[in-house]
Amino acid sequence: MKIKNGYVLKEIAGNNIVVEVGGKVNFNGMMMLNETGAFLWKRLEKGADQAELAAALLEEYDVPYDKADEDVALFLQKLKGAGVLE
Amino acid sequence: MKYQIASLIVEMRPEGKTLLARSAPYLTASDRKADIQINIDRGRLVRMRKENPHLTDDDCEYIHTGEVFYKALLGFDGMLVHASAVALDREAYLFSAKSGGGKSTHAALWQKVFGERAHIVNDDKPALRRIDGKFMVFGTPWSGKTDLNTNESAPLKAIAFLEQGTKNKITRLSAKEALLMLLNQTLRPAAEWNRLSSLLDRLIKEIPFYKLTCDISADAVRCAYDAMR
Repeated sequence: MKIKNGYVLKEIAGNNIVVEVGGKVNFNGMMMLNETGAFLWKRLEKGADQAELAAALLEEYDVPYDKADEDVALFLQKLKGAGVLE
Repeated sequence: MKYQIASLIVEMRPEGKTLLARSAPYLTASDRKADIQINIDRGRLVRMRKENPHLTDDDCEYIHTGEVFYKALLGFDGMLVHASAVALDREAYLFSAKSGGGKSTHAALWQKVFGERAHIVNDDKPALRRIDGKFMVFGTPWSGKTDLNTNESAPLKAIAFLEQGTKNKITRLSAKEALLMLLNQTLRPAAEWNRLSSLLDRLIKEIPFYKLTCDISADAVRCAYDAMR
């Protein structure tokens, strides 16, 4: 589980936006992430796996274990759906 | 030949009537080194023509050079905004919409309402640059289907995205809404995303964005002006 090459996250005026720039002349697709999403994205970039993402979420935010697990699963599902993961 | 466009020295050799005519007001005798060199790729124009049979050779040269210029502009704290830019009392108001979205019509209405106080800086593709901490709007030779452009600049006051409607209404956009709409009305070269994103960050923080639903009456202008001025 890894972010495909060429997808980058930027913060623009308080918005977390992911676009595909690798090898493309012009990018088309873009995805907005909320604060938690951006937090998870940065961990994922560093190679965290699903369990590590949930652990990071638990540590950073005051959420129950089940909720963290569920949020991470939803986040990964969203990325897979967008074709961002390999 | 050397041109001064958006305060940049641009070198190119136009051959087609359209580009020659529209770029003439921007000719300069400056001996400054060119900031942007536009090498017109004639082979590319032939391919472009084949893929778009409705375009003439002149059109292809005009469109192609515009694309090269606006991509290069990203290297100079600048970007393209697909909009009609009106200068009123020396400040620029941008009206953006997709093609056929009524931006030229609305800009023309400003001239009608305000007379000599207002004129069009660029009817389709103004250049936006951040210079000395300020966003400036520039006319360029590339103004879409019309030749409505003037070789001048004005500080940017506000940007509105237009939507045609039967009632006139204007609302302020959130940063997120502004960002998504703006990204659909500019060039997005992947290789320049770092530069574009930092410019967009400043632009959205410093300039107010609106959504304007409007008809084609003088009332539409007043509605927009009251909120944006």
